Amino acid sequence: MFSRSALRSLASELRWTAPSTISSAAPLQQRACLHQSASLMNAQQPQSQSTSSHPESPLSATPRAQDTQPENVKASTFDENTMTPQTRAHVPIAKQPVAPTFTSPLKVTKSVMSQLPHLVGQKPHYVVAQLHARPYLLTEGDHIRLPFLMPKVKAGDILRFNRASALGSRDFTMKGSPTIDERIYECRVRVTGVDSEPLRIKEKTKRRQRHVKQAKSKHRYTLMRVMDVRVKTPDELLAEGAVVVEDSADSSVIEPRS
Amino acid sequence: MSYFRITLIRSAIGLPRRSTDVLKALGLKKRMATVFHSVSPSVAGQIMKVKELVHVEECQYRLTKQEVHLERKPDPGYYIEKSCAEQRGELGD
Repeated sequence: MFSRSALRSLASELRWTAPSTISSAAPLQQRACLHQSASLMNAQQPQSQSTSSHPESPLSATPRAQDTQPENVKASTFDENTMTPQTRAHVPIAKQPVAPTFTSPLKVTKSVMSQLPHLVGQKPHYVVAQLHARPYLLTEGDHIRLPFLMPKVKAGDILRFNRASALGSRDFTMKGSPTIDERIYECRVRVTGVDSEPLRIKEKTKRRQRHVKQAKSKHRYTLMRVMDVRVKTPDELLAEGAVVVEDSADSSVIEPRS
Repeated sequence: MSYFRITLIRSAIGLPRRSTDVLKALGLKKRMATVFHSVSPSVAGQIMKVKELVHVEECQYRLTKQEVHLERKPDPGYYIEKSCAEQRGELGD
């Protein structure tokens, strides 16, 4: 029992620290998470034995992987403060799907603060979430089928959407410039699975040749369900350390329906 | 040290051979390609030859190809708040 819980914490640590450098444990772990918990036990048995024989191996996976996977290590050791991005693997942390860390407190203008109770009180809310700069209009309970396969997520994961261009209810809309600060609202989404389109077969022919090549494609899409779209009340914002500032031209505004 | 940031906006198809050669000398092979050259009279003269085709800015640093790409790359707009492994861990404990 101890070994399994230890493995869980270890796996979650590994997931956060070096998702790309898990060398041997990655496929088994991913397959295990797709099944129910009963089959998970069976799948994890051989892993726990292997970890007991090499107790330090997953933790020291990053330095060991240097001789096997040079590209991944480059990506993981890439420090955006000191290095300039050279290859496609060098993506700064701000452009990766990583939970943000805030340095300055949330700034809310007076007009937003005064009108926020109207917006909060009127449920349900909708949010225009920007995913890779594409807008998705979402309400609580919506099922989404993304037009792409989201990488490194599994069924059951809870995601937060943190770029919203608009947030509103029936009569009020809060417009961002260009996005609303992510600390004003919570938009949670649960990954429900992966959808796939029917296999498409395209016949490729060349002139004056009898041979016909069949090009096959079968795209996969991520399915999601919106768990909640919630706007925080002014009291909550103040409790979390929000600062009320004067209105300025480039701040978010709440507009009533015209 | 300042640099010219030159972007090819219009193609030189159908133009005299000279224009194509100047673009080739500047290192511009296709539309929307961006190159950096240090500010000098010779480069300025080359730009003058193809000024109808390119967009020129002056900047202080020579950006890498990836940095130019990252300027256009939007934020993902999501992050994983809780993975299913973590949720299962909470249930187990």
